[in-house]
Amino acid sequence: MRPRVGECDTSRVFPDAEVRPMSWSPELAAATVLSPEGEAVPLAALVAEQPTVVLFLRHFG
Amino acid sequence: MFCREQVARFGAVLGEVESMGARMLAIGNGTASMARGFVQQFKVPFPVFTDPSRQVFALAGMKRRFGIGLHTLAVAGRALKEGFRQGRTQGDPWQQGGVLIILPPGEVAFEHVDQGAGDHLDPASVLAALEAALSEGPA
Repeated sequence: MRPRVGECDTSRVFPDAEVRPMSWSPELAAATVLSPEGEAVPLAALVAEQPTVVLFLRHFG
Repeated sequence: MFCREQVARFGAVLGEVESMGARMLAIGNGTASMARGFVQQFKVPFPVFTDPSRQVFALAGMKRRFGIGLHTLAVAGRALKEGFRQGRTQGDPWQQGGVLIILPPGEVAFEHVDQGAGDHLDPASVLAALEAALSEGPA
């Protein structure tokens, strides 16, 4: 079963996982990140063309 | 150390991600210069961006906490055995990471929020999540 709008159902992969609130929002889509060259890029532009695995790193250490 | 381990382990499965028609990217925090240095030093094979204000981290539901406990020590031992070493922290030391799988134009098909340092999903689990997400397609 697909998750309802507003939810991200991790149970498709992890049966015991909780259903987390879906975190995609217009604010997230419009939020920008910087390329290593310092260019600001909206997150939406990075995920518009292809399915994308986004790894959030703790830091660069 | 955990970031180095994470990019190395996920870099090793980049081909599998791409073979599924998907891409992979990473977002850290810190300055653009720090991101540039990280990419160059560790030869990261996928695009890396940075979020100095941590706005994207917050909006995506990533946690900011101390995040070091017994589990951290256990996984640190594993990472050390595999040759990863802790460098100077570049970015917010309290920021925790995670994984999103986003289907175009903007559907979060999968989310994992790290509960602490080293609490990363293994690449096999992320590949399984990607396969499941792609099999169902966009909403």
